[in-house]
Amino acid sequence: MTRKSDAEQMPDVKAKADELVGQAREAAALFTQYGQEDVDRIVAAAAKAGAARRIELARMAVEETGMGVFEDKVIKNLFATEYIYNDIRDRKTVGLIKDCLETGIMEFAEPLGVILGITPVTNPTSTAMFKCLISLKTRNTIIISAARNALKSTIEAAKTIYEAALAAGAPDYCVRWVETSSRELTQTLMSHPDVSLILATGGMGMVKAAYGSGTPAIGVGPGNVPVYIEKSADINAAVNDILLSKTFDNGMVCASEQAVVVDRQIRNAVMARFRSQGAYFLSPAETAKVEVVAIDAEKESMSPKVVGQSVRRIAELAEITVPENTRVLIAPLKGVGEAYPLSREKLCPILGFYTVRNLKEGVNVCQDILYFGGLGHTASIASQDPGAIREFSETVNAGRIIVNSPSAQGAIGDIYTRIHPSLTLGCGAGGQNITTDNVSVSNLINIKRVTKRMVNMKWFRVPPQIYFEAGALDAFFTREIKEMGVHRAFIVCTGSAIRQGATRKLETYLQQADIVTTLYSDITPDPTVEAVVSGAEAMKKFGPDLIIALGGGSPIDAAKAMWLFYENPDICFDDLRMRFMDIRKRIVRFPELGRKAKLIAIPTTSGTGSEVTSFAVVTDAKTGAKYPLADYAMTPHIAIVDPNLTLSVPPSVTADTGIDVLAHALEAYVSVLASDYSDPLALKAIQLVFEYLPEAFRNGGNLLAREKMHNASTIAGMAFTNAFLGINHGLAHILGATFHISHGRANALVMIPVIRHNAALPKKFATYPKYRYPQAKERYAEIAAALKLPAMTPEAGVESLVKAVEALKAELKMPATIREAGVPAAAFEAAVQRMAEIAFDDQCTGANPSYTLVDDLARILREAYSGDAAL
Amino acid sequence: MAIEVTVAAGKPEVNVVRLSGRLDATTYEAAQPVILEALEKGPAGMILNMRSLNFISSAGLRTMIIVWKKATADGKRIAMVDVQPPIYKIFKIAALDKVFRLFDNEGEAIRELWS
Repeated sequence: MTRKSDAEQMPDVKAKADELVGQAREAAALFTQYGQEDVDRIVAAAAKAGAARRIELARMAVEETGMGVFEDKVIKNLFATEYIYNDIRDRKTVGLIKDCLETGIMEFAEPLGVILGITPVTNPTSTAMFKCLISLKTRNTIIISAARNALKSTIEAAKTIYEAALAAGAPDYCVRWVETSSRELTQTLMSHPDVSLILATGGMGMVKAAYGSGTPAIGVGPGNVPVYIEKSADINAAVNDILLSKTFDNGMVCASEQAVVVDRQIRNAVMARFRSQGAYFLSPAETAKVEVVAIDAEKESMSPKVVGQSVRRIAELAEITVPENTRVLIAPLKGVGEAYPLSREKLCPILGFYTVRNLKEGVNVCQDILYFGGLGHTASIASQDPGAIREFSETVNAGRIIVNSPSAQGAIGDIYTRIHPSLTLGCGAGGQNITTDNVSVSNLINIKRVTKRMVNMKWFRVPPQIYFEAGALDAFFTREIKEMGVHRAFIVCTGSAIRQGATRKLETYLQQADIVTTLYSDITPDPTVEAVVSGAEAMKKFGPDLIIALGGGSPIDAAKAMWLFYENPDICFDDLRMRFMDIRKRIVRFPELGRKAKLIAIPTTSGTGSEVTSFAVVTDAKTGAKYPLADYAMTPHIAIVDPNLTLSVPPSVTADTGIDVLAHALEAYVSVLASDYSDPLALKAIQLVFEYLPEAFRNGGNLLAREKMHNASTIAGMAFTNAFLGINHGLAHILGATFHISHGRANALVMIPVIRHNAALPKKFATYPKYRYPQAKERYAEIAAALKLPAMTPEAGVESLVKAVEALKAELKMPATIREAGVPAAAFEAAVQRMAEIAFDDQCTGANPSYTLVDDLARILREAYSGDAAL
Repeated sequence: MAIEVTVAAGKPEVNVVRLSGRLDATTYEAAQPVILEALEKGPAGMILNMRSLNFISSAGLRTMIIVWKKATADGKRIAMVDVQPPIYKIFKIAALDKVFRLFDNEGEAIRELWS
């Protein structure tokens, strides 16, 4: 019979491949209905059947391949069934395999479909049964393609598993096999569109073909396993392990030792022990003879003639004489590489042997050996020194590092070691593999992750103590202060506070409480980084255990920032000001504060709310940009809200700071982080502002109006320190910095266009899980309703609120627009784009109810400039 | 496994076979002749109503193919309706949705194939 040419064969090959894959695909489809119990019953039956035929299959394999040791193949067959089954029997591989309440993630196991299992000549029956079992356990179907010289025994093994599976209710064709060996058919199967995965075990050529086929593949290639006997090793045990492993099935396990690397100090003892246990050291002349038969120089690989052969057979082939009962041949070698053929992988009882001077050289020689054909596979070490084991393991490139155990038995797992039992050992990137796993069921399922919407934990954090009412300052510093147990107070204030005598009373109280006090008044409005750093220096010199911030927003913010630097001198401002998306996930964590000193904040204006917030606005002197530092660590320990301190605030400052309170509360109420905890505070603050700010502005001596505004400021602070702000503040920060407009006034100037913008349908939606859909319009209307303004529809409510804000600004004699505030048109236009870009990146912008684009921020600024919404 | 054979509403020349339970190695032998007879007796063809079929084995699938082949040979149309997701998934994976004409319900099948 003449052999058909490849071209003639092709239609047959394609038809055969289609038939096999078609059957397997149908079986895979039916398999999807099976539950875990069905699958477990099938796998148990199949494993049992495979184990029962261990002896016949071992005999068939040895007879067919002419390789290996019958008795050892029996063990392999048992390993492939008993050990593998034991490892996978209780694994969940079907349907819902994990359900986690905390993460809201469910995991479902989905089979891959049709697997093409390529099996080697070295471990034919065991590998076939192993691959069939892990496929069945995962509801995949498998087509076994056996090595040419192990076809019959491999098919018999696959058939054994299949018939048992079928009898246990598995779908027809759940295991298929290639009946006649054909490179073309294997190739066609590899690239068949309905094959989901190639599970390839064998030589590098075949593994590369699998990877090159375009079908997903888990392929494992050759090893070249070094075993390093480090000077602290238990020599007798190490030699025994190596001989046990290397003689198992005549050295055909790819994880068996290929070369012994031994420390010089113990070399003679190791050699003596090897000799006493039946190893034979080859002379240089004998080595030359053995390498000719063992290594095919042309193919640059081991010769099939010696694979799985006994020492006696190899000696015959090499025409050398070795003592009877020799277990292994050991060839002392001077180097690794092509010039030393026996430094290659040799799946037979031949070992290379190297002597090294120390750990460093030992590790490097082992690395050389791995790089010469066994990268990523397995390495082994015998040592009693944990440090040496660690250094070896950190460095060598191997997916498995076997410690004080026979390498072959150690690597396949679950006999000497506790890694997963497997007959397919991944070799990682070093072996051009996807994994270093001992491949098993987890590699044969797709995990479908079903993930529920989760909301982040929120919080409500304010200072533990807030004291209020007129006279609170006096009451606190005559009584409560004594309970604090502090001795050195550092007062941060402005020069004007000293001039106005506000600090004198405080100093007297502190003196009466035996607290040493110093005043630091080098504070200017909008504190800069440099000012903060020098303040922290002064603090360091004084060494306070109490910091008292007295004043408006600037001294309190400055004191917070100084406190931060005082407690953590090595901290970097650029890290602290880094923009974050989620305060709990920020890259730079703020340190804890309060180890050196506590902070009391005493506001003398009704505006910033800084006495209760976790923010401190610090200005970059170079760019003029304002950076809100934010972290709960910066929340003061105590706030003292005493309206007596605000009686002398001039009307324009009352107006500016008062409108800042309104901005805080409005933004906190519509923020994506607004909560049931912050909402009532924000609403109350808004009501207080509309009711009492005009009177506080007109008649600064009205204590009731002052008290209500002072409370409003702190209450709004409590709302926005938890709910955060939005673009009103983002825009005001840069507008104020660019044109030297006070913070409150800058907020007032953009307030109406911001309300209109936020109330419209967002161009881009805000990203926050708890904020389920845009609702700013309705929220503004709620505010209007709370102010008893007309709000029959959300639109009407927004309009009422806008009008109320307009009226309030007019009452406070505030400019209606940026133009009216005195900013020339040309200067404004020149700056507007840059301001929009900076506002976009402002820390406050993230909580805005819509994600606002730079162009829209510029539009809002232009509207705020002209007052004309049609622009 | 239960099989109910009726005549399609308003279309007496089409038989409807309603399958329920498991069509597998133990039930297909009894089921196959009943389905084939229903096909035989429906001059225009047959609807296989899969609403209550919750498991199909290799043997069951082969029965379906035999029925389909017979219908094709006899020049009759065959529709499969109300296929539940687990069985539909099998048809998708095995690409049998390209062999059988699948419809949501009997009425739709009649409208599409026999009117």
